Amino acid sequence: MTEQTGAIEAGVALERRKSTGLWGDAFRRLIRNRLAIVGGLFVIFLALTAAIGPMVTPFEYFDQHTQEVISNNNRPLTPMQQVEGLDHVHILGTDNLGRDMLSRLMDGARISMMVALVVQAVVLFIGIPVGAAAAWFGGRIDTFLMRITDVVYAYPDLLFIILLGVAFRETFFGKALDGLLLVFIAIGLTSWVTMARLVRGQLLSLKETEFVEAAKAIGVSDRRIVTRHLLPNALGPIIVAVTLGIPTAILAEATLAFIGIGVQAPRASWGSLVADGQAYLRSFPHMVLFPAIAIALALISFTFLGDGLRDALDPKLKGKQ
Amino acid sequence: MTVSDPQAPPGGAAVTELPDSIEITTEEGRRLAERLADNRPHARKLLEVRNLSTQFFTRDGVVHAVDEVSFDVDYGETLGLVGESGCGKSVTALSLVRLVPDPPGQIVDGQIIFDGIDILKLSRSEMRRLRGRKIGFIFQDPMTSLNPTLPIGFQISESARTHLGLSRNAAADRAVELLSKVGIPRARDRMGDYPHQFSGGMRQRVMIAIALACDPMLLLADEPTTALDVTIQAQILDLIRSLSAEFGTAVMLITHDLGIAAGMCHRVNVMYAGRIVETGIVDDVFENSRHPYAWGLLDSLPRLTDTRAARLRTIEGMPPDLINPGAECRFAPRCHYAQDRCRSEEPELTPRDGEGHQARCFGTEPGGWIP
Amino acid sequence: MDPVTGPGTGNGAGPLVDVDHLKVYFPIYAGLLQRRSGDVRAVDDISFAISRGETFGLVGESGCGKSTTGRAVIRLRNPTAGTVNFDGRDLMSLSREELRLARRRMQIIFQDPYSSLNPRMTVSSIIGEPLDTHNLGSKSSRHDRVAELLQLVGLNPNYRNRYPHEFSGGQRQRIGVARALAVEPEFIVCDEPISALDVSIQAQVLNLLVELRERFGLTYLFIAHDLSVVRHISDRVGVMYLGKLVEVGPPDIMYAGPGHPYTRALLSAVPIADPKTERKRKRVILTGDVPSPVNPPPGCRFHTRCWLYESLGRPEVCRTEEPPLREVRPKHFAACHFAEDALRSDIGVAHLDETAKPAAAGAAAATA
Repeated sequence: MTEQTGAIEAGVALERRKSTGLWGDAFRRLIRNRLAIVGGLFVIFLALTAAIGPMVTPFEYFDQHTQEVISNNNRPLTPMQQVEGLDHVHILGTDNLGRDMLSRLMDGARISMMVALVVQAVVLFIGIPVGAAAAWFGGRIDTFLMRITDVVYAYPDLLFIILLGVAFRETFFGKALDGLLLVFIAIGLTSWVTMARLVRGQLLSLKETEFVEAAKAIGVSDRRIVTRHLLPNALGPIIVAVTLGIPTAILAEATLAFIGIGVQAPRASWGSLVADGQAYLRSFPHMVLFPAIAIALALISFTFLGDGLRDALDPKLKGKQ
Repeated sequence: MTVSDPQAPPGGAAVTELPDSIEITTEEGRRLAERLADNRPHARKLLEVRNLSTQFFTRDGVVHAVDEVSFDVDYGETLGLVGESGCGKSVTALSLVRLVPDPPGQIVDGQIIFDGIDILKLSRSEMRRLRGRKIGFIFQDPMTSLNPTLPIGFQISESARTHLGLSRNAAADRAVELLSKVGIPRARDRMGDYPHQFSGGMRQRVMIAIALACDPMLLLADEPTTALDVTIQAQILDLIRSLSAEFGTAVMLITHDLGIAAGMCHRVNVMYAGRIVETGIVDDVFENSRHPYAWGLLDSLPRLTDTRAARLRTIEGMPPDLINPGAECRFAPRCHYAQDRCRSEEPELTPRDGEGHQARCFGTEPGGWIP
Repeated sequence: MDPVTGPGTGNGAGPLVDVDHLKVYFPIYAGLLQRRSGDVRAVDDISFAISRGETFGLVGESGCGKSTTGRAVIRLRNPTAGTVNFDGRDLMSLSREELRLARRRMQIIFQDPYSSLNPRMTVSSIIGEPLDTHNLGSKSSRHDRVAELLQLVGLNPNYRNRYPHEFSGGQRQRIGVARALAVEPEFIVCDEPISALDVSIQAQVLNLLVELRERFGLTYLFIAHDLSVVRHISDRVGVMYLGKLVEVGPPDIMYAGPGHPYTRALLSAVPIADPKTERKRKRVILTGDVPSPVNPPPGCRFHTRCWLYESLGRPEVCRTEEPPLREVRPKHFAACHFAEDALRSDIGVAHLDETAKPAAAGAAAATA
């Protein structure tokens, strides 16, 4: 049956359509997905906030406006609270040390976006070569690499990261980027496994396709087959995996920050903001509420975007159109 | 196993004699032949389709997949729907049983009367009951039509239990009976086997058994042998032919293979670009065809008797765009004989020599310019 | 055609492709320890030769080993035993570099127009890849060559920057043909090149292949399951069953009087587009399925389904001894102990009654 409708679409004359690459088609499918648009817009918003936000706010994230807190009876300022004698207002309030919440949230956004980029970079950097090598060479190399993958996968991630964090905390490495570099590398080191397996699976099935056989029959070198024929066709699922892996990484970083690993004070990751505000949950919930909402929104939007990308890049899965 | 459906029309069918290609192998078949022979022609057919139009609403426009198609299928006869991919034959079959995916497809016009029942007026559940009970299906790829997680015995008897109300044991017995009828050796032992344990040809036989489980009046076979080797294909076609003769089941056979149509069908509809372009009894359509597309198809077939490298006569060009078809003969752009009238007006199906023989072509009409 | 430098004695004498006792087995691993439990004997000792300019048709049903043979002949798959000589040199003896050069002289066209083209590459990259790989010509001359090839196969060069999914099946197959022709090969393996296409398109592509053969003096190994198609294009036809060659000969002789019961069964199963012939013909319907290539029947592989075996009272020799491929008539070889009886049968030749008649009187007048 699908052959029939496929033939119907093929009946549309070649001249009628403008040439679109497969990416063009995918893009058009993507923008028709409303949830994906919403997710995508928020991701863009986050990215902009991370890039220019901290430069735009009137306050620095580490500035402690202690005077204001003191004059407020040693209590953190609530959102939009007016304090006598001051001409400015903290839109989202302050924490107990007088630091502006909005600025700290923006710094948190920066950290989260860095997590998204750096962690996925590590994942791609390790995962793709491992997966590709396992798929292409097969045999012993495949077995060897996959066993390593299995070991890493079985290893408890959190424990590993905490261990790394504690071990390297005092070193230069551990202090780089306010303790974040350590966290990023650690998260990356445990997350590449899924990507490697994905790449290996994709390439294994692509290896059997006829156009790869054709390339071999032509005499194309192995290296070129992988780069020209295999990887470009595996890009779709890789992109989706990267996008959907970001929420996990963000949450992982937030969890670590919550228990005190990774980001060092006075840097403000959303997770550490939640930790800081814990004690004031009953009286000044805004200290916990805003970072929590930020985390949730970030997770949802990347997920929507990732789902949309998956449907756009592989319409067969959706079953329509 | 009874042959006649108690709801069969009292007057019998309009076919008054059986063409040579039916082999009467059983007592029941003989009785059917007699019944057909001594009844007067009756107006009602098993399936009457009038002006069926099915369209697909896509991003690029409305695809007129099936455009005002009308035909009949008589009780017990084998009708062929022949054409290449994109001609609308599969969509026609799906429309008959309302299985066109909606969206993007929709039956926009027409009437389908099956055994006196107006199909398009039925509710969904009534339609489902009809489909299982009176119409059986055989599709091209048995692997995707059979449930890989259920034993085949279950899949056959499930149909009988649901539609005929048989008890589990009675249904199982019937399933074993059917399995051996379709030629699966040691049927009872194989009731618990799963589809993947059968070869392609065997799976197709299982599909036929499922299709016949409720003794349907019509068998819809959509390219039932395309995925099979030629010797297995011969087995399966032989099976379909003999079973339909034995039980008086009508068959609607959809295929692109003209040879299969020639060997299996009493009557043939040739489809092109969503329309029927020629119809008639099989001998007329093959030996005395009156449509340039059919000629082109027949001529482009390599024959077992060809000499080496005789150049095949081809039909140039490609099938037309089914979006916004113009008011011209759809075959005109590829037709050697086309004249101005063909490009501005679309011909209707008009009679030719031979009983029920019709063609959609100005040039071959009596008085037309093609001899 | 320009002579291409490459390996080989190249003296013009002798067959272009010489297959000698070719075997291709695929090992099966089973059990907890993945031990080798047996082999799928896809190709089990076949020998044949193709002369320069000849088209050798290889037919058989699925699982008979014809596709595997096609790939082994151009070393896309390594033989388990036996030799494949291309222009006098054993393909397995070539070094990597020599093999790469040899690939310029032998190419392949695939069956599935949908999976034989990389969906992420434009048509001009696909056709240009062989030129890039072998460094043929300069950048600009390659550009022209791609356009030339597109026109050669009947496609508009303006579509060079389109992607495969924008073309129909028949057009994609033409792109595959253009790709195969890019390096100016001498020998092309056509692996079921038209099976996946519509009837009217099949004729177009078949005509194209014949035309190109005439023009460039190509040698073809034409693999198909459709006997009429193979007949049309081949000088000699070989029939395979379960990894063995059971009959070889020129099609006019063979199709008029097959010497092997399997060939007769095959011919009698082919539907003929003529209702009267279909009604009259004597069909032999083979019972059962094709046996597994892991454990082929002893003796003659076909005896378990052979109508001649049954009608001759199940002679023992069919069960115990494998029949060799022997010459039963001049240039006509069959692997059957009772080929003479097979020759005398009248099964499977219904098509001879059918004269090649035009579909309509009008059509005949038009072609005159």
